[in-house]
Amino acid sequence: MSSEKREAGRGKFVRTPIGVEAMFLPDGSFVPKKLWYAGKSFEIIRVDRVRKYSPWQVRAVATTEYSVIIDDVERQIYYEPDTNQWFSIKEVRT
Amino acid sequence: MSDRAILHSDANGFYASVEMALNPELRGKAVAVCGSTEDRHGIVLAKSELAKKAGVKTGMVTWEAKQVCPDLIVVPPQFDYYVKYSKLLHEIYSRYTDEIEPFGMDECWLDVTHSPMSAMEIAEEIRQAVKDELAFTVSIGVSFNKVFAKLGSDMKKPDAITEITRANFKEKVWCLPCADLLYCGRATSKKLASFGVQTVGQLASLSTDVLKHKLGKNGIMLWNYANGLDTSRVAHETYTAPAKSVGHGITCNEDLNTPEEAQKVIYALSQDIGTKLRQMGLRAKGVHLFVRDNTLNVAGWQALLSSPTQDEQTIASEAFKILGRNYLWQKPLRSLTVTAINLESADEPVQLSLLCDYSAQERRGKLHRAIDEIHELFGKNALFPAIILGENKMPHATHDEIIMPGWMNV
Repeated sequence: MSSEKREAGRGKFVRTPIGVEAMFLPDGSFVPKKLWYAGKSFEIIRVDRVRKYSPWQVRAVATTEYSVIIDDVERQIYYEPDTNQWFSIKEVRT
Repeated sequence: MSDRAILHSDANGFYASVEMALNPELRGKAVAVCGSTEDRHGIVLAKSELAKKAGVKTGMVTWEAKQVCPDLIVVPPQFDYYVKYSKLLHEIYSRYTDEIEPFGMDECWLDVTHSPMSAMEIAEEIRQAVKDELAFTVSIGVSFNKVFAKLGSDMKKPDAITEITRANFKEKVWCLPCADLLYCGRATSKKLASFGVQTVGQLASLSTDVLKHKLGKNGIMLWNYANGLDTSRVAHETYTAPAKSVGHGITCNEDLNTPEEAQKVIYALSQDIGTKLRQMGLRAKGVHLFVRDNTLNVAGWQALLSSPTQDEQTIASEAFKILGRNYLWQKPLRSLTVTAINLESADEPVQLSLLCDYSAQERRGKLHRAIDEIHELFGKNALFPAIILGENKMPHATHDEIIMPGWMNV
């Protein structure tokens, strides 16, 4: 689901910190390879898109959005340089 | 030669927008960023679109704003983040040009004349990039000069682009009130209205002789602006306007009731001025003192110094003398601003006076260098004049980095 579509949804959104294993490239950039959430690890099959994007639903200061494929499903994860934190967005139905 | 392509980008409700990016739960609500009531800065600094629609205005006292908009959410300012977001905005602009002239923290002119892309394409890309990357919106004016570009960014808000061309400026701009024009403030608008000039078009059709007679050289400047003849350049991003004065002011926690209390504040304010003058390699030939009493009446006086100086003690002592000469203490003081004026380069030769002890000045110079080094290493509270010791009714947090809009580069 794309970021734009998610924004159109209803409910409360929470910023969920995740663990990320990344490969650092010679130019200083990095590519996430695996992520950890709730004690489980998930292999990132590929990164489809990288862009500077700060989601409107949660606190995010100048983040980079990675659209990644995990288990054949596209998901968005974010890296915030300000806090050096990776996070995803979880929708909590109210 | 082809026309210039100038953009003026204005972040909509900048402080409030940053607050919403930092706390998305504020989105869609009436929000106002207000100074601290305890520090007696309790006024609206910025407001969201909804608060604006409800009648909240910048500069309103906090309780007054809550009266016009009972649902108003008041948040304290986070200046560090505003500076950060201002730099992030600047980074987006710098993808297109290095001719970027800031006008305050949230507004910038960009000259994109030499870009391979059209000005409208660039404006659209910037608008989208700010929305995506920073999660707030900008309004952009596109035109062939700075004044119309700024006017354009004010015409449609929020999240909009307005183009003013040579072909359409008479139709788009001339119907607007004169007050919409840059540097046509309340007093000028009132003067213009007194001889029947209400709109930019009426201003443009006046004779320059009449305007010169009524408004002096500002009249000619405004006539040029109204007729699309502004030729001022957009400064390069590395350009810093030479300082015309260095000042420091403060609203006190409590009213100052005696000259002794005012003296402490004046000396404390002057510390930063001396440091800044030395950092900038400047000397002051005069001092200006601005005061506001507890009924918000204001007054200002100035005096020339016997010789140019970077010494905070000399500046403070002169400012205190100015206060003694001019203020009658019929009402307590609420705020004070000390400003070093008539600045010159510290390298400029000085006419020596036979009656002055220059060896003492030289020793003082060495003392300042030592004090500056101590301040750099251990902070400015590590060493300060004894006169400032004790309660001085000054708020502790100050924000030196805030750049307010002044005059654009010409």
